[in-house]
This record gives sequence, C-alpha cells and structure tokens, in this order.
Amino acid sequence: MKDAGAAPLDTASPRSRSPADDFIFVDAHWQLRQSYRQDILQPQFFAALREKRLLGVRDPSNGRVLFPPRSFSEAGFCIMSELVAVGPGGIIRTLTRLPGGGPNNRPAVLLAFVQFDGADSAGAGTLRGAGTDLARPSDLIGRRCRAVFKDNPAGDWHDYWFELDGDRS
Amino acid sequence: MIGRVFIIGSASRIGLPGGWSIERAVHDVVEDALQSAEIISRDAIDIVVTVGSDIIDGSMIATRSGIAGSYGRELITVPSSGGHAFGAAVALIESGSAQTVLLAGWGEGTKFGAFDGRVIQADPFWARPVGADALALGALQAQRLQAGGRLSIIDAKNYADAMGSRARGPNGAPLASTAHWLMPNWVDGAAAIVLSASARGREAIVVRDFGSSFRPYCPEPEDFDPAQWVVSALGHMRDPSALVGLSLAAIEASAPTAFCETLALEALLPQTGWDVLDARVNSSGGGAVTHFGPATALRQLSFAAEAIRGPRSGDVAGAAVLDLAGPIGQATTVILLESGSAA
Amino acid sequence: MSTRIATVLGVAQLPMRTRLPQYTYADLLGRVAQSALADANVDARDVDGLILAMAPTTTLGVDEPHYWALAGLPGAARFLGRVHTLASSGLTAFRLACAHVGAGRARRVLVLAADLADESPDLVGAIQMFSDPFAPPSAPGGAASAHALQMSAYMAKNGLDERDMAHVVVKNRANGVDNEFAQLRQAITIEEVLASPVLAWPIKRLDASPRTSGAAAVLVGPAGEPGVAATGFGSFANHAMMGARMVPGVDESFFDGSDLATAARRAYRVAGIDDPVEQIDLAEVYASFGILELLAIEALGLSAGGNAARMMGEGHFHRDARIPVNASGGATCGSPISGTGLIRVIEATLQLRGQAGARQIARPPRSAAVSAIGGLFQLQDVGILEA
Repeated sequence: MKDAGAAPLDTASPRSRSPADDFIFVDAHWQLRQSYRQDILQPQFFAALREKRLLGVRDPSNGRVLFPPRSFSEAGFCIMSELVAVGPGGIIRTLTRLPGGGPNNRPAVLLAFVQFDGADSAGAGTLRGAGTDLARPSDLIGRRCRAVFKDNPAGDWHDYWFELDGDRS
Repeated sequence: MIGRVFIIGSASRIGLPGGWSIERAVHDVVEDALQSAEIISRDAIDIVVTVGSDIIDGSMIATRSGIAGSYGRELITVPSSGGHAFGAAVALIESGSAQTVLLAGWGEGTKFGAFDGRVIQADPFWARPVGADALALGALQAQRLQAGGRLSIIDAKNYADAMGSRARGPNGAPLASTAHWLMPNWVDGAAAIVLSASARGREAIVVRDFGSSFRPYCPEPEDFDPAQWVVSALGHMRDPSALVGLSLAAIEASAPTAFCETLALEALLPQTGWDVLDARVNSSGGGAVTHFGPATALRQLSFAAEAIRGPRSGDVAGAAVLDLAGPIGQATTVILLESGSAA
Repeated sequence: MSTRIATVLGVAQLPMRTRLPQYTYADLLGRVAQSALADANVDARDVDGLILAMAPTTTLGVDEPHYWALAGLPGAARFLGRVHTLASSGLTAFRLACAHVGAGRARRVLVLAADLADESPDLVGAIQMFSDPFAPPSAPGGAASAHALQMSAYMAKNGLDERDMAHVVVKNRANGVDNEFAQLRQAITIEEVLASPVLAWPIKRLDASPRTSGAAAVLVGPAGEPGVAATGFGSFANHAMMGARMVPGVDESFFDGSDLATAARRAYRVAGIDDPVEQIDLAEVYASFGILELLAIEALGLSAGGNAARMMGEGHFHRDARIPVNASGGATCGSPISGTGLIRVIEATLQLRGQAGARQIARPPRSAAVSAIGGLFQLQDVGILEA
C-alpha cells in the first residue's frame, strides 16, 4: 500500500509561511491510498528466494528470460508464465553509488543492475563488499558478481545482495 | 488533409474474473478488439491513445500503457475523458498522422468503493474547504435541476435500477438489481476501439462527427443541465447539423450519475421518440452503473458500434454516444456513428 | 520536401523560478494564455480549442485540475483534453493541437502548461507514486538514481570521465545567462560541477535541473498561415522495465537512446529530413540531466554514437557552433515538468523567428528539432519545426 501523504483529509486552514512572506498559504492534504493486486508470479518468486533460488520468466514471444519475473510482457504483448532458474552468477551492467547521510543517517550504498546468467534482462540490487568509497564505481561495470543470500531468507527483496566474484571464499 | 475515419474493431469488459489483474483484462480487451478488426499484428497500429484516471491508476496511466500494447508504438495519453481521447484518435487519423489508431482505456473503479478519490479534484481554496467533492457537487446539481422541474428523483431511481439489471457482469448475470441514482456504481473495466482511415472492405462503422464542450467550475450561474451540454457539444462538431437526418438505431450514454445520464439523453430522445428505458437506449446498461473512471464511455462506444454493425437493408443506421465526464458530467463529448451504405 | 502540418501563431512563457508564491496554478495558466494570444495578435473569442499539458497531478495536489483551473480561459468551452505523458506532456500536447488543426476541426488551438514545484513538500513522494509497486526497494524510484545508471554506463562504454560529462551543463548554464526566462542565470565552471554534492554517482547537484515553477503557452493555427511550421512528429513508447533495456545485443535502449533515435527517424521521415547534420540548424532537447542531452544529440543523428561528449568538449553544440543545442540553456536552467516539452517548442520557435534576443544564434536557422522524454527514459517524443 502506498500513501501520497499520511495525514487524513481535513479542511484546509490558512497559515502564514514565514514572517518575510506577504502571502497566505492554504494547507491541504490528500490521502490517496492504493491497493495493488500482486502479480500472480510474485508469490512463487518469493518462495524461491526462501530457498535461495532465483527465478526469471520466459517471454514466449521472443524467448527472452526476464528477471525479476512478472506475468505480462509489454514488448511481446503476451502473458508470461514459464518460470526459469537464473543466476546466481551474473554481470554488472551498470551501477551507481547513492551517498549516505540524510535525516536517518543512512549508509552509502552501491546500487547495481546485474544481468544474471540465463537471463536477458538486468535486475536491481545492492552490491556489497566492493567499497562505497570508490572513485569510479563505473569501473565495476562488466565485472562478474553473484547473488549472495542471507542465512535465513524470509522470502522478500532483502534476502539477497550482490558480491563481486572472488570476494567471498 | 481530411479523410473519413472508421471504427473497424472494438471490445470491452467489466469486472475482473477471479485471479485476473487489470493488466490481463486490458490485454484481452485489446486482443479482442484487434481480432474483431481482423488485425493480425500490432505492427499495423501506428499510434496508441490511452485514457484512464491518474488517481485510480496510481499516476501510472502513461507509464503502464504497455498493457494496452503501446510498446514500440507512438503513444498519446489523454486521461481527461474517453470522449477527448476519441477526439484525439480521430484527429490524428484525419490529419494524416496515422492510418490506424488503437484507443484503449481502463480503470479499477472498485478501488473507489470505500474512498472516492475524486475529492482531490476540488480546488483547495474555495471548494475543498467547504467539503465540495464529487458527491456533493452531484447532489448540488440534482437539487438545482429538481428545483427547476427538470429532475424527477423517482424516475431517476427507476432508471438506475433498470440499468443495473440491464448491465451484465463478467459471468453474464445482471450487474445489480438496484443501483444508486446519485452515485456512480464503481466497477473494474476496460475497453478498446480500433480506428482506421480505411474500412478495409468490411462492415465498418464510419465516424460521422464528434464534438466536445466543457464547463469548468466557475461562479457563473447556470442550470447544470446535461442536456444543454449535449446540445453545446453538438454545436461544436465540424458539421453542427450532423445529427440532422441521421436515423438513430442506438444511443449510448455515460455519465457519473444515473440522473445526469437520463437528463443528457433528453437532448436526443425527442428526435427518436423513444422512452429513456427503451431497449435501444443503453443496451450496455449505461456508464453510471458500470463506471470505471474517465475511460467508461469507450465501453458505450463499443456497444454503440456493435449495435449498428452488420448488413442492413435500406437506410443508413446511426448511433449516438454521449460521454459526460467529470463529477457532474461537464466534460461532454457527443459522437455520431453510422453504418450501412454510408460506410 | 516537407509538408507543413500546422503553424505556431503565438508563444509565451513566464520567467521560471523555484517558487512563484504570488500565483496559483490557475493564475499561471491565465497569464500565459493571455500573453500567447497577444503574441499571436489573436482575440480570445477566436480560440476554438484548448489543450492542457499536465504530467501527474500528484505534484500539484489537485487531480484533473482542468475542472478548476480553466475557468474563464480562452477556448475553455472547447476544451479538447488534458495530455499526460509525464515530462513529455508539453510536446505531446503540441502535437495533438497540430492534429486537431490539421484535421480541420479547429483553427486556433491553445496549448497550456504550468507547474508549481514548490507547493508540495512531498514532491519526491508524489513523483514516486508512479513507480512500479512491485519493483525491489533497491530499484531506482527517482530520476537522479535512474539517470546516474545511464550516465555510469555511458561513461564506461565510451571511456569518459566526469570532467568530460560536465561540459554539457557548463554550456547550458552559460547559455542561460542570456535567457531572461531561465531560472538559473549564473554561469558555472567544470570545477564547480565536479565539486557539487553527489546526488547519485556520477550525477552531481549541478548536473541536474532545478525544481521549477513556471508556465508556457503556444497557440496553433492551420498550415499556410504566416509563422513557424510544425512539419513532423515521431514518438516511441518503451516498456517500463528498465532492466530489460540494459542488455547488450538484445536491447540497450536505456543506455544508448536507440528508442529516442527511432522517434527521431519517425519525425524525420514525416518532415522529409534524411541528413539531419545538414538539414537541422538547431535543437532544443529536454535534458533534466546532462546525460540526456548527449543521448538526444546522438539520437537526433547530430553526432555519431558515443561522440557527443567529446564533441561537446570541443565546442560543438555551443551557441556559436554549426548546430547549437539548447541555446536557451535548456532544462538545466529551469524545467517545469508539465511545460518543459512545450518550452522546447517555444525556444525553437523564437530562434526560427529571429526573436530570441540575447540568446539568438548568429546563423539564421531554417529548421529545428525538439525532443522530450517522459518517465524514466520511457516515452520519447520528437518534433520538427521550420521557419
């Protein structure tokens, strides 16, 4: 469920923004709850994560295996249902470093898109162990890496991350 | 460069069968429309025009256009109304920008069952502070029209119930035995229309004309009369006399409320001599009781085209589609179709 | 030989700012509509069509704002619809206006767009509303991280560094100094770009367009009337799954802009352009980040693949170059989301008219390419204009 704003809708109330402004601003909120029907392949995908397996889906219109899986192919305009094992190895196709800080003092993170072996698309995830102080993170593009699972996967997106090949004995 | 535009295929669906997603519903409706147009490959589509509600669709109406088959095609999204989107599709063909346009719309209207998100359509300065939301505006409209002797609530209730019984759900059963006359009956729905510059030798429906009129919320006094808005839209057609001499065989109307729909129909019914509950009026059940947002009228368009498709002896058969979008139906488009020897 | 589709009769834009607290959204539309009609010397009563370009309404906080904001505006009674293709909305709306005129259904169609970026403190959240709800939390939900991924791959593929990439915004900011409508009118240096805070590596704050409030309007009339003509349009809708567009040998459109190139080819075909380097005299391309301008230059065929950054560093595409790109300063200097595509049309029109003032390019242009991008590099639009 996503919210555009947490506060419930209420009547607008006038207030001044700051002493320096001559304008009166009217506050208003909307609470726009959304309830998205889960893609029908997602439960199987998450169940596989619990088993430390990665699944893509084959597009019957062109044979491409897409990761992560979803039940509809926009390019092929068709329903997809054939789940295919991919990874855990793959190639970094691109990545960026998101700086740390902010109000929650979050750590810096490397966000990578990795094309798993057996897949014809790249999927997002965090790259660990490569150092977040690299001068040129793009130097890692083209490097092989692999998905590494936590000891007890829960069946959600936080179950795995990427590590460069050779980084883990 | 002005040529004729034909509806060569159409399909619609309301309700999502168990386990279906709206993606699948849209996909299947588009496939059905393409099949009815005898189009084998989506490569035959030059431009895709989509319509749907930002707030129902989580602001993704443009980015998820792929579910309507837009990938690789040219795309224009006109979310304000099915009538506007239809106008865009016709203009693109008439101007020579496209040979064939796929027009698709959808909405998971049941999301609005408990929370009518249209409250955020009211401006935050004058309207929202006094609680103006779509339902309040509809009630104001009804009150004004009732005071002016234009609206009979009993007739509106009877009409709503009749439409609820006439509309068919995904399993073919009547959608509802009763329906509210003052609120839309929210459903999940999708519709697709294929338009082309060529009839391709089949029994295609020609777009005789269309016109749109609009009334923003403004302080100017007026009657909020949907029939007047329909008349205004007729006057905005390329040929304001396009309705004259058109032998109507079907009328379809979509409005946010049943009472608005009945009043809009009054602009055309005198020409036919039909009663508002005539079987030739809203064979679809109308848009108020099968409401899935701004794309609703595309379903009515699909039904209107089907109603006059097929070989006929004698005169040209015409159909009219009234799209009244917005909380009180003030974004009005009238579409006139004809078949038979004219197509 | 191109066929003229429609004519730009009048243009107007309001000076872009971070905040425009003295205006409501309706005020902005009214003012810019009035100015466009004045520019065209057309009476409000003669406007027989109105199209509103409005990207997701979550940023404004009022859904379907036309019910409120069009009251009293020229052509309101003949409203033809709201267009929403995200940041490409302005150009798409212009294309639709040209279609209505080209179809003979209207003779004076007004296209309006406005944005108030400062009205919502939840702007980032409002924009993230249209991200895929099923994507992993690590997937980029915002433009900076998404285009950082593009920029990173482009640099790696073409052997470029951050300094090479910074030339784009330095050029644009220098151009913006002479644009009285620009939000940012101070020149910057490469060193300043490199020293600015990292939003998402390699994108720095000065690589990115600011949050902008502004408004734009264009009045469109039939082909054959005096004025700049629209001669071709093309677009390409890609799929939302960006990872599917990152695969060498299969689909690398997210990295190489090949989808924008397809949109350009479609527009060129209609406009009768078969040698853009010879036939295009200037370009106004939507580029909220420098990488987008480089991809647009290549997609428009104004440079060979991967060469755009080097050529930029050598002075090509500057205002005094053979094919200036974003002589206005582009989105780098201000970009109201709904209007940014329309502003590209306006700036190109002013150049083609010879009315661009201090930012006018020296060599009188005959034709211009404009482009806009919607979503996370998903919806591509191109238009061609001729004097």
